[in-house]
Amino acid sequence: MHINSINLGSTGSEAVSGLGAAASKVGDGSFGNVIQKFVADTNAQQTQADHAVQKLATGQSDSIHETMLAMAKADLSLRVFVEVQSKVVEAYQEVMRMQM
Amino acid sequence: MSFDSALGALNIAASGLGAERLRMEVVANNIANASVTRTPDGGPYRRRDVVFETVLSGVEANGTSGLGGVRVAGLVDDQSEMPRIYNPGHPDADADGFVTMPNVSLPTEMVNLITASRAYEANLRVAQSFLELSQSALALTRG
Repeated sequence: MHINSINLGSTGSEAVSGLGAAASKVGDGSFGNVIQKFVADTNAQQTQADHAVQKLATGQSDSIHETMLAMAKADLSLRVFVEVQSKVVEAYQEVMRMQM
Repeated sequence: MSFDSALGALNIAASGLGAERLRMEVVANNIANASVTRTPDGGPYRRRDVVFETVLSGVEANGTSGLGGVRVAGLVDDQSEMPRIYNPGHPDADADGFVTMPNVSLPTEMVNLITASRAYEANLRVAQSFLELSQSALALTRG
């Protein structure tokens, strides 16, 4: 879980903020904005999982299931994001390979 | 949070897990106090029970189901009669030598304990199935 959150915090948001800047000329509902929101969401899930683990470890929380579910949610949201991201990159490469 | 709405079933299962956990705590407390004749309020321990209530959250219009799972409404005291046992040597015995004991019956508590643990398992199963389904759905993109 920790590794995931670091990855998303640095490389993920940087890569996509560039994308968002390029697409922001188009409009608010643009693809870049959607992706940006997606990244923020995924990151929020990771942070939540981090907090849950921390609270359990320091004794502020007494429910194991809340922590485990927070981690499961973070895992799932990251998987969804990675899946979307790899599809996007695949499509981009497909376009770049097009014959001129 | 927008992605959270996609995890509705997981959140509902979590609320169920929390509720059943509390039920188990109450059962544990009942069993532990099964022969307590002195409480801060005076008199013997009175058996307690949990009351659950359903949660309806959010507006159904904006795409969410409006289902919020379960919440603990509170703890209630069991008002059933306390058994009186003849035990003149007990410090809390009355003038006739009878001691009022808690209205906790171990068989009932055991059944409640099993119910709580089965219900907990059922909620866990829901969460597990939901995660499995989501992972299978993710595999769709790989064709």
